[in-house]
Amino acid sequence: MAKTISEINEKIRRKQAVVVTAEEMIDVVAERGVERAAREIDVVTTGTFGPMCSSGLMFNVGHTQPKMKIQKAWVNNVPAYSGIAAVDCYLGATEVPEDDPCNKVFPGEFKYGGGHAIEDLVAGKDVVFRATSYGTDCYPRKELETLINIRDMNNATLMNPRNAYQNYNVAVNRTAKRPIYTYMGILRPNLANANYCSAGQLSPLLNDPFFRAIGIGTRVFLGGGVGYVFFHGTQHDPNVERNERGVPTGGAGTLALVGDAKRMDTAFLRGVSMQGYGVSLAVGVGAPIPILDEEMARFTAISDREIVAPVVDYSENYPEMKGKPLGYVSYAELRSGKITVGGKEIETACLSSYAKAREIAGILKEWIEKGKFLLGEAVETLPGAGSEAGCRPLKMRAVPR
Amino acid sequence: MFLIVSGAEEQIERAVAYLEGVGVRTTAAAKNLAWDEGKCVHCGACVGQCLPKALSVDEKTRRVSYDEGQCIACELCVGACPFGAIETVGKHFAVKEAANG
Repeated sequence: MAKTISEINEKIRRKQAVVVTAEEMIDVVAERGVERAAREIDVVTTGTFGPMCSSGLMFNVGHTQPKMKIQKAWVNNVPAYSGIAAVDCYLGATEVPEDDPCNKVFPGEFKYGGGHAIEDLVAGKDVVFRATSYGTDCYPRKELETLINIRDMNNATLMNPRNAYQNYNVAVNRTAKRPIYTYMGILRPNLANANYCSAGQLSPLLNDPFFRAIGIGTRVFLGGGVGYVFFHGTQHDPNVERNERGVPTGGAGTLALVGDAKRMDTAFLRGVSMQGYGVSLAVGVGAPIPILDEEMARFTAISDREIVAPVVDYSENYPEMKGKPLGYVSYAELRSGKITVGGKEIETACLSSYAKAREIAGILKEWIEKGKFLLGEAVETLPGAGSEAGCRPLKMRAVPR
Repeated sequence: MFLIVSGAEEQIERAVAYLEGVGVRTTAAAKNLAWDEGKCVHCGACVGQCLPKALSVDEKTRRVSYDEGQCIACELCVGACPFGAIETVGKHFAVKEAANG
């Protein structure tokens, strides 16, 4: 018999909800069967922790006296976007200081950037906030330099346009004769290593392949605090090919997430430096999945053996946007430390932390068991298969002169 | 120029400080890696670069561990770690002593 989210929330309030992690659900379904698991389990918790470049902090520093309409702003020397209201700024995770040598000496180190500045703020450290402007009658101030702390800000909202990718590429270097430095890490020549980045069987959207549970308004674990899905993420593509379990065989759905950064924890929000590439922010995300019926029990029992990812050449095919995946491998194979592609054995390494993903799913489970975290009912579903949403390349057109 | 300095750690540090004080730049030939477990998030990005398998991911816990005995201080993992959890420690005394210190 199907359950409703309000029935599950009532059980959570009474601290009687039965919650397991997505990892535990695999054994539950194997031992008890789908029908019994659907009856006995109320919520399955998921988790993921890895670099998520499309992240950033929206903050409001409060007005100075005299007032200022900030035109340009920097946090610890990292530029923040301020083309919005007077003292609102957005600090992007991948922003680098203007005086960073970047890749002038290759490969650049990218030791500090937006992701690190966000981490410093969330850690409660004082940061240097600098701003300039042209001055107006109502906002006369033209320069500002001050220490600022997240506590003193009116708002500090983590606002991430794209997180928690549903599946992702496995990156290799097939043709370059030297190591290549990518957002997927360092890839040595001759297919010497393969890097992947997904929590697989623990990942939120891999446990909800058709977005039945996770939608706009879903309450989630975000960066150690509470967050919400505010829209489908950028590049959300529900029309990717799926396997017999309904799981996309490549990057597909994404989530746009928002939450109060003042209540977050740097254990789950960390600045990232990718040598030769740039900076980013590693974000911890966990979503609860209500087990409304047998289908949801089946979806959440997915294991690493049943999820495959495409092996993509990052030396030529990815940057030039050509060619096809070199093959498909399962997350069980990836986690074994070795995969075989085209007859060649390749060592694997993961850029996202499965240990942290497991920790996040465990924390979310505890929050729900203790009645501290209620499930949010989606007010709108995410675009599904057949919808217009997609990840299409840019069609470049000549500019009339 | 190679300079071999022997003596107690403190004496060596003083000798290096003296040389640097008169403008001689020194670089330690012996290097060691320091793995900061507090900064490590146990992703495993370093493991893919570690040829002698000093860094590995435990199959059950999925946590990274570092076996100093296997490490050849090639430093490939230093650049590969997105979280700055591995640093090269250049010491003006032997690796073994550095490890004990």
